[in-house]
Amino acid sequence: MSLIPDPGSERGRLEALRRYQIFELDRFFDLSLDLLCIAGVDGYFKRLNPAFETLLGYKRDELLRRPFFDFVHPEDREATIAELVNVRRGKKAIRFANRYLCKDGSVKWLSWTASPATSEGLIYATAHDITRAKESEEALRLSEARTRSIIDNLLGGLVTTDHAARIESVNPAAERMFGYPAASLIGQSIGILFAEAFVSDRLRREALGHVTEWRAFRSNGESFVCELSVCEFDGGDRARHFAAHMLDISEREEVERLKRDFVATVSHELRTPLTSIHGSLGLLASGVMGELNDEAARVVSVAERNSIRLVSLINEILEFEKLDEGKPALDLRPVAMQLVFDRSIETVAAFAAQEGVPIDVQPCASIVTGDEKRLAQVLVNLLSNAVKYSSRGGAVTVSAARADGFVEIRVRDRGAGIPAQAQKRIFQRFHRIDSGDGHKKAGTGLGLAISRAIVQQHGGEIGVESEPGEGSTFWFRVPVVLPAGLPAVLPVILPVVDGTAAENPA
Amino acid sequence: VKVLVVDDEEDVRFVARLSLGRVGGMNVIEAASGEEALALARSDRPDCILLDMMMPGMDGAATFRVLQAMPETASIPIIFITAKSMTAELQRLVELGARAVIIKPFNPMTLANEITAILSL
Repeated sequence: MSLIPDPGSERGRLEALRRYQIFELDRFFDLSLDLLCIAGVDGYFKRLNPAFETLLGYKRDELLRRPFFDFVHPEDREATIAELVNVRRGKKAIRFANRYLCKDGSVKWLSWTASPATSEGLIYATAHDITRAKESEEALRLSEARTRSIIDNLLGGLVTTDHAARIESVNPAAERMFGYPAASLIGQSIGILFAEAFVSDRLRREALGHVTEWRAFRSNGESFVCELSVCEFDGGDRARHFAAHMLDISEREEVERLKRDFVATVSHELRTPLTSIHGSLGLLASGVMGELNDEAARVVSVAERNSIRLVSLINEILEFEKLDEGKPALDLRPVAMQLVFDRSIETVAAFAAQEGVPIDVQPCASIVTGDEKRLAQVLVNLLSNAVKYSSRGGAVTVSAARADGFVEIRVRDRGAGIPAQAQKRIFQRFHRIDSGDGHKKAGTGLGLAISRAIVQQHGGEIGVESEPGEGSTFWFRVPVVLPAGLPAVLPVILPVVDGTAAENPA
Repeated sequence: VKVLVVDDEEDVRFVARLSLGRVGGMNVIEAASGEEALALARSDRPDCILLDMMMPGMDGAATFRVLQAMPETASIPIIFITAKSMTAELQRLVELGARAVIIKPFNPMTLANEITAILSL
């Protein structure tokens, strides 16, 4: 940046050239958006470009009158002095960053490049405003710290992996849950937490976007039930990454188990007194103890009917507890749906007739893999619900359709319908459908929960579609084994009289 | 047919007596405990024993084992009667060597027929 003396031949021309060159440099000096300055070793600016005024808001003479240290942020003065000492010793400063105070009280971050002219006692320096970059750096740091703090304080364990299920990060909750320090897990396959070699494929298949339950293992070998869901995320490197959120639900499981045991015990205990009540009333009602007069017979019949109701309630609760544990093995074999239809209709026919609700059955030639008795139990439940919630004369329709390797059975009623928010809950145990007409409907509130358990054991699904005022359609689908259209030989149809499998609609 | 009904609940024994005697025309004797059952089984030689599982003291399982071990009673068919229908309980009965089980509450009008059917198997 120094002017090159050019010992020329013609003095005037040279002088003009020199002036022009100075004029040219001054223009650059004035034009620069970056700060350009010459400072003395005495601590004062000697020359400044207008960018100083623009950026810091001070007038030129204010800047020239005071030592430039006055404008440096107090926290950065020490570092600035150290850097200046180096520059005076002849070392160039490159991208040295400090903060300058502006006239309006704000602060600007400057990145300096400076070199000394030791012989003249001057420092030549340029500075670039990096305030915006510094601010976004700070914002990024804050946002990182915030995210990190959330992850570190989550009560659930969070483990992230790369596309090959190798662990990339482990939060403190996961460290505590599994009993490993994060460092010893990073780089390992996530399978180490489940003692299963091929778990990663299953995790991805079953837990991606779903809340699932897994048996997991702590470092001391203790196993526990882990509630887990997986999501996929973009790590910014175009590769697939996965995050698994985990909760140790062993305590919750234990409470569930105790609750189940309690219900089972109480239900069993109730059977002993019921044996005496039910037996005595049965004997009285049968007339073997002598004929009763009409009124007495009616009293006994009321008591007997209700003792039967109590027995079936208890049976249903106990059966559900069994189903809940996935206990009863299904007798799986090819089943003609027509048989299931016939069986079920036969069971509910009397009740439907009594309620004045006709059942319209569309023929079904499909064969599914299933337990005939259990499937009939589901259909009986749906049918008796449909009848229960229909008004006199409102028909119930049963139909079947094939789709994607499944047979879907649909039971449609023309009752009051079920509001959307109630639809989600009706398959939960002890949930009762509000009939909407103020009538109490008999039942345990277990029928649909039992039906769902049975359908799920078949690898199927159950659901409902309903519009208030338009009636409801309950459907379930179970997998098909044989292609449709095969001339299937149907077994002999036997009438079913099985009080325990069918819900007693009385 | 002579049936020995073993149950610690007097009411249950009473209902069973009527169901088997009055409805089924069977000859019924009763025992209120496992110990009593062993004595009666030896002295009265019933054709069948209806044995409750849950009893204080000597329970159904223990009574069953002794009856099976004693030469005089080993050949008497035993039908268990229990309020517990859990898979584990049924499994326990099968392992014990039970021939049949009736779950409480039973139907008083058909109990005798059920026992006859089981005995004829």
